[in-house]
Amino acid sequence: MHLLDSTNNSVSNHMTTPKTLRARTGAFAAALLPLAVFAAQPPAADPLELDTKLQQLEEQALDINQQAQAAEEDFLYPDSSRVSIYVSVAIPGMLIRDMTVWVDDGAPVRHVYSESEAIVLQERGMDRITRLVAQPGAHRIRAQYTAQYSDARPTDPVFTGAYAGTFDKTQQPAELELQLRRDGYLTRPELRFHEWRKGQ
Amino acid sequence: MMRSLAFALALAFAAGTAAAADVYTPGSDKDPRVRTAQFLAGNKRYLDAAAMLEQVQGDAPQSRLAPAFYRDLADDTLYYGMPARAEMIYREQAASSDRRTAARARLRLADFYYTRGYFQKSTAELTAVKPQIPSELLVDWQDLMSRVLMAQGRYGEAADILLQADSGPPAQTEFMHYNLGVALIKDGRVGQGVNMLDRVGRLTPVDSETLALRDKANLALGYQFLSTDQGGTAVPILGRVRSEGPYSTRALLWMGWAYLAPRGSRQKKVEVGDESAEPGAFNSFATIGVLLRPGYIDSDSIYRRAKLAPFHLSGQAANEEAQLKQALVPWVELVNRDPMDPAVQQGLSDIPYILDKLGAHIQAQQFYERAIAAMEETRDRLDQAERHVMSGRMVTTIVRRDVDAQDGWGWKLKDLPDAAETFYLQQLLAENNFQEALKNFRNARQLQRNLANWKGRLGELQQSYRNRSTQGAAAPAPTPAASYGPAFSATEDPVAAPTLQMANRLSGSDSSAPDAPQPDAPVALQLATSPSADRFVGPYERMDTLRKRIDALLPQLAAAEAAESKLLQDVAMTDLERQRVLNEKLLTEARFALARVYDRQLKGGN
Repeated sequence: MHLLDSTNNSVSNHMTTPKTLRARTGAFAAALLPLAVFAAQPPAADPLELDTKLQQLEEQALDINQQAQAAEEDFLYPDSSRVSIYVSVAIPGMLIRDMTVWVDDGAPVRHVYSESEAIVLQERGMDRITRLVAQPGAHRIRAQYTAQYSDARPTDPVFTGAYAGTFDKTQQPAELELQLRRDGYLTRPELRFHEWRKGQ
Repeated sequence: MMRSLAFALALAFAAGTAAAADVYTPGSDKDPRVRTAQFLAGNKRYLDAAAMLEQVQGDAPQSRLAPAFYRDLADDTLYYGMPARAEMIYREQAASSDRRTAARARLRLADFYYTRGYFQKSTAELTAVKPQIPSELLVDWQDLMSRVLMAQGRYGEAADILLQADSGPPAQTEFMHYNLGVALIKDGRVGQGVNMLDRVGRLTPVDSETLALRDKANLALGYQFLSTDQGGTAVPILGRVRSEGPYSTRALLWMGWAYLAPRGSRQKKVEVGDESAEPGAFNSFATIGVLLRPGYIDSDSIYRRAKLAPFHLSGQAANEEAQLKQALVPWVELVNRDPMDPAVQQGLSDIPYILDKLGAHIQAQQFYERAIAAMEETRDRLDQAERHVMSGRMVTTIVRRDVDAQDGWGWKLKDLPDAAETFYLQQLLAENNFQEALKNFRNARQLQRNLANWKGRLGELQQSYRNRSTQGAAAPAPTPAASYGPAFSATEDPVAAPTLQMANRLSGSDSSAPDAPQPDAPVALQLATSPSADRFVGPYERMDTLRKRIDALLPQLAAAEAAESKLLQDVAMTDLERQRVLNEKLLTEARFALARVYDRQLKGGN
C-alpha cells in the first residue's frame, strides 16, 4: 500500500509557494512520491480478463491431468493386478528420512524424503511410494526405514527398522500401508502393515 | 520337541502376515488416495492433489462423497488458482460444514479475489459470509474487508470497520492500526489518523516486519506534517525512522526539507477513543534522530566529514542561515549512501543548491558534478533495465526457480534476481497486481510443460499398446509410471519388479475376504452386447482423445503466457519510464545549476 498518496496534491500545492527554496524542495517532493506526478498509464491488456481466461485453461488442464492419470492407471495397473504401497508416519515430531520397499524378489524401491515432505508426512496424509502389478496370490513384502526426531542433534543416532511379511493379492487392487508408529513414549518406533480395501 | 519348534516358527511367521484388510469408504478420510492427495497438497503440489481427488470422484461419479473430500478439492483448486470450483463447493458446504471451517474457507476465497483484483467479488463474498463469522475470525474478516474497501477508495467505510475492530477483543494487529491511520487521514479525519499513525510509530517492535512497519508509519506521519507546513513537528517524527532501513534515505531527505519548511504550530492530540493510560515507549537507539543528535549539528565536524570547509555566509538572515545549516545535516549523512538511490541523488542536488546560496560555490560545483555523474549512471542503468524488460528476460529470470513447482496462487517470490532492472522495480515487484500476474505467467508455463510431458507419456503408452498387439508378450514394456504426474524418471518397473510366487493357498479359498464369491450363490448369466467397433472407447482411444485435447490446449496456454508476459512488461516499462522522466528532470536541473555556477565564475561574480 502506498503511503498517503492522496496527500500528494496538497503537498505539491503547499510547496509551490513563491519562496525560491521551498519551490525547489516542493518540486523534488512531488517528484519523489509514488503516483504523484507521473501516474502509471493503464496497461494495454486487461489483467482480470487475462486472469479469467487462464482460470478456464487451468480447469481444462486439470481435467486432462485427471483423465490422463486414469488412462495410464487403467493401462499399466489394471485393478486386478494393481498393488499400491503407501507410507505414513503416526509419531508427532518423527521425520522419516528414507524408505525402501521390496516385493517378492523385485528390485528395491527407495525414496529419500526431503525435509518438507517428512514434515508434511508426520502431520497428515500418506505418500504412495510405488505402484506395481502382481498376479493374484500370496506375495512377500519387506521394508526398511530411517527416521529421526525433528529436535535430534546431528550427533544423535537415527532410528532404523524393518518389516517383513506377506500379503494376499486378490482380484481387487491391493492398497498397502506401511505406517511408522509406536505404542507408547517408552517404546521404539516400529513399522506396521495395514491392508486397505475399498468398501461400497 | 520338533512339533513345538514348528509351532513357534509358525507363530513368528504369523507376526509378519497381513491381518484382515480394513475397509474404507471411497472419498472418506481413510481412503488412501484422499490421504495421498493430502500429502501432495501439503507439499504444495496442488494440481496433482486436485487431479487425484477428481479421479476418486471420477470412479464414482454419481456418489456424494464426504464433505471433507470436497473441502480438500476446493482448497487444492483455489490454491492452484481456480476459484470457480472452490466457490461452488464452499457455497454448497456452507450448511453442512462447521461454522469456523466454512468461514475460514470463504475468507480464503475472498482473499484470493482481493489479491487478484476482483474487488467487487471479494466484497460480495465478505458481505455474504459476515453473518456466519465466528468471533475468533472477526478480526480477520475486518482486516480483509477494510483492505478491500481501501483498494476501492472507500476509506470512510474502511475506517469505520477498523474502528469497530479496535473497540473489542480480539485485538487488531499493528498493520490494521496503520491501515486505520491511513484510512482516517484519507477520509478527512486527519487528527485521528495522525494519532493512530503516531501510535504505530511508537510501537515496540517484535520482529523485522513490525520494525519496518514502525518506520513506515513514522515516514508517512512525517510526510503528513511536512506537507501541511508543520516542519517543526515533522523533524522529530522523521528522526524516529531507523538510520539503516528501507525508509532511511527518504526520511533523511525529507528531514532536510522539514528543516527548511515553516515550523508550524503546536499540534493538538485528537483521541481515537481507545487511548490507554500508558503511552508506548520509543526504545530504539538506531534511529536517525539519535544519529543526528543535537550538539552534533552545532559543531563543524559534520561538514568536515563531507569535505565541506567552513564556508562564507553571504547576506543570509540569521534564522535562514540556521535553517540551511540544519538542513545540511541529514543531507550530508544522506549523500554517503548508495548513489543509485533516487533519494540520495536528490540529496546530491539539494546540498549544492544550499551551498551555492551560502556562498560556497566551489563546493557547490563539486557536489553538482557528483550528482550529475550519479544521474548519468542511473540513466545508463535504466536504459539497460528497459532493454532487459523488453527482451522478456526480466520475467523469465524472476520465475527461474522451481519451474515445475505447483504452488499456484500460493507461490511467493523468495529472492530477487541479480539483474539491472531489479533495483528499479523493487517497489513494483512487491505489489499485488504484479505478483499475481507473475503467478499466472508461471502457471501458464508450468501447465505447458505438464501437458507436453503428458502428451509424450501418452504417446509412449500408445506405442507400447501397439507393440503388444503386434508382438504379444515379446513387446518391450512401457516405462513405468512415476508416483505422481507425468514424469519420466520413474523408479519402479511394473513388469520386472513383481515376480510370480507360488501361493501356499488359493486366495479365492479365503471365504473371509470381502470379494470372495458366495459358494452357493446362483450364477446369473446374461448375454453381453458387443460394442460396435467405431464407438468402442478403451484406454488407447481415451489416450488418443486426450492427446488431441492437449494439442488444442497448448497453443492457448502459450498465448496466455505471452499475454501475461506482455502485461508484466508493460507494467514494468511504465514504472521504468516514470523513473526515467524523473531522472531526466533532475539531471537537467543539475546541469543548469552547474552552468549557472560556471557562468558566475566566468563573469567574476561571487
